[in-house]
Amino acid sequence: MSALEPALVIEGLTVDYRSARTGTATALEPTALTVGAGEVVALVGESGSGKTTLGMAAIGLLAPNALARFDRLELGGTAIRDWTDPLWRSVRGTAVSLVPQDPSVSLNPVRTIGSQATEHLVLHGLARPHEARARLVDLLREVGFDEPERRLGQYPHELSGGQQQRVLLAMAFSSDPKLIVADEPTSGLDVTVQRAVLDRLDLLRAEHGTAILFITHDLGVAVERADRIVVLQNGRIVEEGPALAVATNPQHEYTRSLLAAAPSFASGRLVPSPGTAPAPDAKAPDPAAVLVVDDVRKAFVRGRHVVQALDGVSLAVGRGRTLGIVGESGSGKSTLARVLVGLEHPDSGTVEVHGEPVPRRGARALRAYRDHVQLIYQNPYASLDPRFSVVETIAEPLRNYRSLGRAELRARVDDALDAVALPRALGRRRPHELSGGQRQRVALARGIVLRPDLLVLDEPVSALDVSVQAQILQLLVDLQAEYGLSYAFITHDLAVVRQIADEVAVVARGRVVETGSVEAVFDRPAAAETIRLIEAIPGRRTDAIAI
Amino acid sequence: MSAVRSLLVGHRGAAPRPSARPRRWTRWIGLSASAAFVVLVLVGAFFPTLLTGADPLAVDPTAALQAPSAQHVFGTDYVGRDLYTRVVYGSSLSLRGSLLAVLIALVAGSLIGLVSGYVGGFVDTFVMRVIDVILAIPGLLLSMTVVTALGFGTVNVAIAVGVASVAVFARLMRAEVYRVRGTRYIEAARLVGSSRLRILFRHLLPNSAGTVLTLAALEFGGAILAFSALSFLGYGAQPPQPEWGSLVNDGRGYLQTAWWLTTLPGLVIILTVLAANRISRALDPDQEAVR
Repeated sequence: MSALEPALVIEGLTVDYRSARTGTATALEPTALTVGAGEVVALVGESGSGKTTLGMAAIGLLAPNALARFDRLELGGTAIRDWTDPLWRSVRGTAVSLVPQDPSVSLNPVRTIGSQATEHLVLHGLARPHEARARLVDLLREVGFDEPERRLGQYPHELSGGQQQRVLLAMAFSSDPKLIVADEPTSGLDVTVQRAVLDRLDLLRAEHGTAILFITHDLGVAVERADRIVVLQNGRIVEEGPALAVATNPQHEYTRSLLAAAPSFASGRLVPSPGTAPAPDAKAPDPAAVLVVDDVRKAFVRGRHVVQALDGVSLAVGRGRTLGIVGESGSGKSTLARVLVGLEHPDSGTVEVHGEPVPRRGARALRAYRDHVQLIYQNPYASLDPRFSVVETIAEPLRNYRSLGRAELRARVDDALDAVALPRALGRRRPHELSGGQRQRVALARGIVLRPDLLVLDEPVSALDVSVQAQILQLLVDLQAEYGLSYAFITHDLAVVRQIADEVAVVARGRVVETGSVEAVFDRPAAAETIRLIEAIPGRRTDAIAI
Repeated sequence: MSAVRSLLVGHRGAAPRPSARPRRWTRWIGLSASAAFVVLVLVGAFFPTLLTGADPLAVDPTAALQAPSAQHVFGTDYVGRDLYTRVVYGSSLSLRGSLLAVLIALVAGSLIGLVSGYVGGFVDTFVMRVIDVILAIPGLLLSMTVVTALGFGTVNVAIAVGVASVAVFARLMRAEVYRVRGTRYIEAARLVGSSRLRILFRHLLPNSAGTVLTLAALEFGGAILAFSALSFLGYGAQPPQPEWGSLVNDGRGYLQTAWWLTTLPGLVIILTVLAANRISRALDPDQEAVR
């Protein structure tokens, strides 16, 4: 290997996307990027910044509607003439490989791991057919599988997300490539799993001397893992430099705002924006708890297995307070959210709001209950009817629960729009005409328009860009101050909890393993799960520097 | 993500065309031609006098069985009636009958599918098994059975054709309702207190209707064929009323000597069905996304 040859050189790359509806949109302004041999370069930016476009251009896998040109493109010393250059075939999958964002859609669901991975090895000439199996076993062992032989016979759905991503890591590294493009390789994974996968990637990189182009929206992860950071905004590189320098001494305004928006371990609880006053119809402070959950159990039957999703959960949320409910996926926290709003009924135990138990049956009783408790979903795009305008969506709860005249209905909807800081002019738009942050604001407006006692928030910001996430969290804090709302805030992200919650409950295996004030739990974590979650928060390197 | 598969397996990825121009105009030619033809046929159906000044029933034995010419563009039949005029007037019965048939199938099928899919459980199982049985019977046979029971006549033929395709609409509507029913926004609507009826008609129906309307356009073509077929067999329009299917039937005896009597009305039927299909494809959101 000629180690001194840069792994990737791109000069003068421009990309436009054309679409029937909106005409041509520029995704990348003329861009130059070099990745040295064995170097880890992180491309950081928010959705629409062009980071994925740049990464995909580096391996010649742009979408068919892309209009792209470049002055120079070299991969591991091989100069490539254009997008149809036959050289791509020999380069792709050997000199350069890809670790995709969502491993579950990149593996063929109807073929075993062994069958598709050996095909990959044979097709790329990395192994003869008869030795491919043995080679694959070595590779799988290298990415940390205990029983690689057993994995060969398994189908993708039998592996967890982290394991699937490790299989793809093994395939990506199998050819000893000069460059690996990793497109948000861990964004769909739990924090603890994310850490394990990234550690594995680091280890492999060190052993193979592979350069990595690491695409991420998470500046914390970038600072922790990359040598160099390239920050993109609106298709332009706005800042570029060594990771630590970018993190500690950002030059560009945008980088600074990204750093400020990223919730980090060190940040404290958000305070309401100046000028936020309690509304006239705000709920009065009340020492009694709004929500009391007592020893709730819920089991699901899956085939021959019984999954105990909730195994004796007890917690309470005070009036005007926020309880952060934290756990990894599979800990039972989403089931808990559905129990709280009466979508699932517990097998035993009680859920009480204001001392009234959640009705176990009866559509009318449940309907009356939901006048007081509302749910905000993780993905606002999925939870808003695509055919409803913003105004129709926000008016729907009012139509169902309050008999108001047209003018009064409109006034209440406008109030809700103001409360979530959405311009009234957006009222006629449909969800697909809104940005992610705007959609979540619409969902929030629908949630608060009835002035519920309790708002259950199921990962409300984890699908949003960091800067939008910061805005929505601030909005939640303001709304709470204004209307005296109580929140049950469910998340996997401890940094977010630190910003918004008063109390925290850590959930694992369907149980509350630790509970207490945010300060107490963060400063003196007692349960092993809590410690693991805290350690997995990316960006602790930045915090350490900041302190 | 197919791009990723192709990368891993080694096929060539979808390379962007450096300076490719969208090939949209070819698509638009076909579509506009189809639309223009359907508009023409619709004009013929509702305002036949705009397309021809002649009388479809006027007999002229001196001009019997004339080949297509400038004076009679489609030629004349065995009693000297102008075939073009008869085709224009015939479109009235054919098209209105087909529209009625599709309307019956659309409304009845959608309602059955909507309720069956939303209520679920035993009702759904029962309705779907009945639909299975209906789908197992060839459509034309079913229509013939229905029209025999109802009695002959164009309206009855339209009803028969409609009833035969109720099952297809019900099945598609139910599938759409099942898809939409499981979405988050339906659950969210429930959480903000919407009643079952409101969810059914304000959320489920509008979000399921798109695909079903596409099918309606497609079925329209099929309905023209079925309607013409039944008329051809003599169940529909009674002579001397012109109707596409019966026109083809009338010319059957003169296939050797006067080819235009069967060929030209048949061609009009084919073109109408093709045009309806093309428009249906343009209405299909998935097809358009693929380009």
